[in-house]
Amino acid sequence: MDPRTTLEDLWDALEESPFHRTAIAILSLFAFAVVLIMALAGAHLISLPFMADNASFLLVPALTSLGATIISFSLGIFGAIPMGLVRSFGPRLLKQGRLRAALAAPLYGGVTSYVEAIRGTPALVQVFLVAQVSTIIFPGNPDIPFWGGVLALTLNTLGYQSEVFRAGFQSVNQAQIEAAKAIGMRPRQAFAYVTLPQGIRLITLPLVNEWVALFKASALLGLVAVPELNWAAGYLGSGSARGRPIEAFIMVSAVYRAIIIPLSKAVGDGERTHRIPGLGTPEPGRGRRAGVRRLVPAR
Amino acid sequence: MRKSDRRLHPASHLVRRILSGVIVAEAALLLVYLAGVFGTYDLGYALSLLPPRGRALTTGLLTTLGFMAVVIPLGFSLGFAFGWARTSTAWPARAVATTYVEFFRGMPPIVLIAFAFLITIVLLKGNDRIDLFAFATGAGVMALAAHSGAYQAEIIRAGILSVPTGQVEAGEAIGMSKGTILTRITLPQMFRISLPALGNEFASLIKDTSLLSTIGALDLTFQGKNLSSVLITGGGSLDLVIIMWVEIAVLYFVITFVVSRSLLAIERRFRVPGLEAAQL
Amino acid sequence: MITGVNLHKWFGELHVLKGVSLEVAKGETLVIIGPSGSGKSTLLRCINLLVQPDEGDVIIDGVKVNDPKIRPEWVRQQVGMVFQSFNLFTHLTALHNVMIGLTKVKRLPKAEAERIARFELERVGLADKADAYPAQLSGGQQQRVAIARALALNPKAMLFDEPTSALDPEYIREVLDVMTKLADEGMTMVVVTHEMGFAHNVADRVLFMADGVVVEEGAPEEVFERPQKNRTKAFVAKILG
Repeated sequence: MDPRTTLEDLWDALEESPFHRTAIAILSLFAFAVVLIMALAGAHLISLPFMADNASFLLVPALTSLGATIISFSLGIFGAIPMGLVRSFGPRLLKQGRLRAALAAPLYGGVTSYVEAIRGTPALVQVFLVAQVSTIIFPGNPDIPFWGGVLALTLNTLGYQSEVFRAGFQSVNQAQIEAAKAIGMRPRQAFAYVTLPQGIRLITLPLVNEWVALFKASALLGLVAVPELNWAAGYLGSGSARGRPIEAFIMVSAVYRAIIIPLSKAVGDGERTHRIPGLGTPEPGRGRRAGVRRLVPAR
Repeated sequence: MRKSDRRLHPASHLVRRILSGVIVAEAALLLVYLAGVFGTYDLGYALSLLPPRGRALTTGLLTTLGFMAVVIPLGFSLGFAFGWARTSTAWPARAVATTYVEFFRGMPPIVLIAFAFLITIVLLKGNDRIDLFAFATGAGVMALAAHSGAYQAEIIRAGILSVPTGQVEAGEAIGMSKGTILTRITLPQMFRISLPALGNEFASLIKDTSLLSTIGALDLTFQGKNLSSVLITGGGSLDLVIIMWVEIAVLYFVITFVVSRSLLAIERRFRVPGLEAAQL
Repeated sequence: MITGVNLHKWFGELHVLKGVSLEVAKGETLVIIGPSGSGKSTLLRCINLLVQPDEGDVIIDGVKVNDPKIRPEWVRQQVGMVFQSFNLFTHLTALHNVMIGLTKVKRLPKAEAERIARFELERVGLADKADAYPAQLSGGQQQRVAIARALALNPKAMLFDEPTSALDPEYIREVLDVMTKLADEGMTMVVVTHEMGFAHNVADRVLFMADGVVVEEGAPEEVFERPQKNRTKAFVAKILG
């Protein structure tokens, strides 16, 4: 078997697979990073032994970050689904007559103001507020920083996730609801068999984006005495004696990216479209030249 | 016989929005009142903090606004440049732009800012001729701008790709010059499409300026940390801490609200019926 | 069999239906033509109560169906509807699209539902596409599945809202053929369409609507070739060239 043909076949197969662009992107970035690090080490600008010795120091803090994110995110889902329902069906209820409006208005108003407040204020301020209040209420308790932080993250993600669910519920094509009614389904049935299944498909991508955003926000916990990844990296990077920020940055980058990049790519290069789903990048197609545009005529 | 459907009056959207703002303000006041349940409700203190009387928050507010004024144009310039490069036909430009975007997107901004600060200090230490702190803070600001720029680059790229290719060809066909096509055809459409997403990113950027407080910038959040540590070491009065943070949060909310609304108004002013971004 | 009596409908300030009456006998095919905005789609939706008339009555097979005591869902099982944009459930295969009305609305056991569904798909000529998803089907095929979905509930009458308006020209024929076959089999049909050929050949009566009122009605030859009212003359002239 001619080795060159096999290589060509392999390359063709790779090109046709849907993951090829992603795989090449990740691999080339990784290779680039490795080469850069080797060069810097070679020029004695950074110390590889430092990184090797302290790698294990990052392990527990990394798990703390992950744990905090997972706990907050899961708690958030429970609250966000009903909130999303209220936000998406609220306006309709408000139009339906005085009794329903009277019952729905405070709920809708409450949920809306909560979501607007969370989205309109910096996460850092929210973290400081909640963490400090927790420490004052339960002084001296060593677990409080972590759980106060988790509470802050949960309240934060509730605000954003509810928008994901709201958009999901509202994005289901209204015409399909009409068709469901036309074959005799009751509104509850139409919701269960048409809105829900399609809504779930629509929210998966934005939810993963929100998880990634929450994971990035967990870095803020390091500022309120939680021994997580950002704090650990700062520890390694500062202090005049032991501080080697360049190496620390390389290490902490590696950890964050190792988690974030696969997740983002798995949902197709999730844009952080500012935590409002529904404004996604149009994926222009899979050819090599597809993502390229002549802004101005050639010549 | 049911009541006929009533089309929602266009003004009621604005009314509802204003209502939400009012509700948020009321919620904040309610929180402040509840704080009074834990301790003594000190309206005087609450009012004394607010700008322009309260010096701390006034300095903080002005500093935050100052950082905004620097970081937003910076981020946008980076975003525009790299967004355009991402769609370039020259592969080196694309490679560089992609590296930039991937580098600044895969990390929490706080880490980028903190390490820009630390690394600058380490690199420039020992140089007595320059103000080390100022440089390092500048590096942190650059890191923030670069982070936002990475997201804006993707938005701009999406906007560019949404402009139908035929438009450029049509421009050529009627004999327009390269520059004219760019300024008269591509860019206007691209901006209209990208504006909502860009507005969101600006709002995020404004909130992220709070991260600069960790590298010593005297912004609103920094004042909060300062004041709260004074309050806590001085006896941990819960209600005052809550009042203070709520006021800071409200100030941020007002800033982002004003900016978002302005952008929305600009968007409406330039809206062309039928030209929308990826519709869902 | 279907009677509409003096139907009025307002959308906000807009008076869309201004006292429309119609009558469709069993087995008859009524075609409604008219300019856009004349209220044709609204009239159709009043029959299966997707739109509630503000005044007037809708009587199907002797039952006054807009009576608040009557469940709209029951009415919609008596009268099937086919939409301009097909509105197939995109997350279900063709077979499941047809079956879902039977399993969830009529509560039939799955085996029987599947049997009926396959029969209806056969009837519209798409037995081999049972396991395809709507996104994999052409416009004409999607519309035929939509027709099968409506037929599966064994309705007494079928409503068609511009069923071919969203189709590429090469697919219009196949859908019209299915509709012609249905008419020949004796189905009571009310069709809103711009397809004048269909109206001419298949309709028993034609109704011309404009600005929310019925301007003229009669046999196809009468309305197309010997229109009485000026409005009708103008519209027919524009359509038939």
